[in-house]
Amino acid sequence: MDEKPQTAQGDRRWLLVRAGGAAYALPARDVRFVVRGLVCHPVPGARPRLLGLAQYGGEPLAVLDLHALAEGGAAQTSQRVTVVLGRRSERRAPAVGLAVDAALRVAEFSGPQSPDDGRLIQGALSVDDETVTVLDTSVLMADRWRAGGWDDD
Amino acid sequence: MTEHRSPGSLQAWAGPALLAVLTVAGWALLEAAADSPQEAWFVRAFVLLGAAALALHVAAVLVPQRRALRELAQLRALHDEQCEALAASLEELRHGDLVAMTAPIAALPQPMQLGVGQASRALAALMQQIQSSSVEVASAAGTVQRTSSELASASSQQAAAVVEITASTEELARTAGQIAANSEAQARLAARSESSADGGAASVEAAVVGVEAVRGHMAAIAARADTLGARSRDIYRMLDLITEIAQETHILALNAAIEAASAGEHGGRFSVVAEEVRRLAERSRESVDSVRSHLDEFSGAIRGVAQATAEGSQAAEQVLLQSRSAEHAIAELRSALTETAQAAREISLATGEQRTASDEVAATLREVGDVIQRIADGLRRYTDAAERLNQLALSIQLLTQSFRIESPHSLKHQLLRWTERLRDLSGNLEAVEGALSELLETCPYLEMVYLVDVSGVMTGFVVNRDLVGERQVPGSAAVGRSFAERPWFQAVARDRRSAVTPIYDSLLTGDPCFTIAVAVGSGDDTIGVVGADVNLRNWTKI
Repeated sequence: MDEKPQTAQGDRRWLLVRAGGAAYALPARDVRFVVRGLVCHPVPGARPRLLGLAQYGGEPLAVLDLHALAEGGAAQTSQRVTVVLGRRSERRAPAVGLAVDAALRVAEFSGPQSPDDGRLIQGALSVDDETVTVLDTSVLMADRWRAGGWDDD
Repeated sequence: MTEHRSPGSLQAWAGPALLAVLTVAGWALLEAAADSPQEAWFVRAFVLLGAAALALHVAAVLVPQRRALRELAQLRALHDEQCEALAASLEELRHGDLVAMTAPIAALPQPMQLGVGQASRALAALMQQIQSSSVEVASAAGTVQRTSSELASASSQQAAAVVEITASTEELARTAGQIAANSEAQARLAARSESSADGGAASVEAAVVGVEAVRGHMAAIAARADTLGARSRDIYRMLDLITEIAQETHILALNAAIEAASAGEHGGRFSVVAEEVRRLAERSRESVDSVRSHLDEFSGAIRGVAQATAEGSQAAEQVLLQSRSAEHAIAELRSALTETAQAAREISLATGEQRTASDEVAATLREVGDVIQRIADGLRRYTDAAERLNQLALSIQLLTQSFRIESPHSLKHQLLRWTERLRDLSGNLEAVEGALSELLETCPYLEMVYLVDVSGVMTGFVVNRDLVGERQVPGSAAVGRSFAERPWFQAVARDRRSAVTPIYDSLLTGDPCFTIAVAVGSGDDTIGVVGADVNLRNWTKI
């Protein structure tokens, strides 16, 4: 659980999603599942990026607004689709939900040449004539995040 | 007397002379023939008889004859004296002085005095009667003249008013004719409108039927549109289901792709299948979106049809209501048109009768106007006649004033009485003017009285300001001016008698007047002439 999260460097498969009008690329290796219509219960007093808690696989799942998480500000995602993140190598590893407007497809391209470790946004690429923000979702599953950093700025 | 005596004396003495000649001749013849004494006795007897006859003739014939001749001469002298007195009286009468004519008749015999006096008094009474009658006639003629003049003026105004009324009545008749024509045209128009209204009512009725049919069709279309709407909603639900399935498929494909990616090299082929599945799901979703888009258009069209049908139904209902209202209005309009046509016909008849009546009234008014005009003309002639009668009465007054009678209305008599006072005041100008002023007060109908001397020069005058007012006295009337050329002065100076001028217009008042002039004094004692201008308008009021 204390191992360093794997960076996005070297990833060639990405899940392209759209949230708040922007396109994002999530590493496919960090995606455990994509679900629709996940019911989210708001948490009183939580930050705007935390939409609430949902039930997934019999366990509570924290659902974050991807656009608010990446760009800051208020939540703007319709949460039609929730991307469940989690390390596939660990079946019991904790999972995080990212609320997006739509999950587009799984694309294959090279990630950023100089990834910035420890930061969510790794850069921006042009995929099929569209600017896509490449995210390093392993950051979201680090210990400090799981210890409650989702509520920090 | 001498002329009458000489032939008579000769004739008177012719008989004795012839008798004496015969006696002497017979005595001479008998003396020559007597031869005997007896015959001588006879001659002596003859001579004695002749002398006796001569004496007897003288005593019995010649002396009475001479006495008769003397008496005849006396009678002739008396006759001449009486003739002169009568001539003098008649001369006074000729000059109209009925007062002075009674003075000379004292020399006349008593019966003649009585007759002339009675004739004078009767003539004076007649003159006075004529004077008073002429005054009354003049006054009445003046009244008649004024009244008839006013009536003529009123009749002229009345005639003018009748002409105006006639013109108005004729205009009324023309207007009535126009109204009748308009009413007739209105009646025809109303009749045509009635038929048009009938056609309109039929059309509206047909329109109502048509609109009701349209409304039925609209209801059927609305039902069909509702059915289509229901079908569209079913399709929407199916599309939603398909979309849901496609999205689920898409998610499944994504998850499969993610799983394939996690599988590394082993999941490559599975990843391809997953991608194909995702593409199919994407295409399904796009197809559904396309179908939804078409269905949206179809549904919009259906809604448009439904809305148009609803609006059409509403419009048809409205049109139906309006058509029924129009049908009702046309029915009322037709009823009103019928009443209008009837009223127009009645108006046409009434105005036609009114025109006929107005024409008759206008004709009657024209006749009335002619009558009034004739009356006005007659009244003007009547006024002229009254004017002439007034002038005639004034002329009669002038004629009667030519006579002097003992009456306060005899101007000559009045002035002659005043001249006696003036004669005593000769040389005293102030006293003369005072007397003239008293004369004006006594005779208020006099405009002006004045005294001129025997040479015709004015010595004093007084103006009646009650009649003249503040008008200026003309320059011809001034002390020192000569009136010797005036006819009235010449008449008085020539005949030593009073004179009356014809009527003329006064320079002071503009009224008709005449002048009466009277000598002051008589004969060689005449000291002047008094003139008085008589205002006829006021004189007739006395």
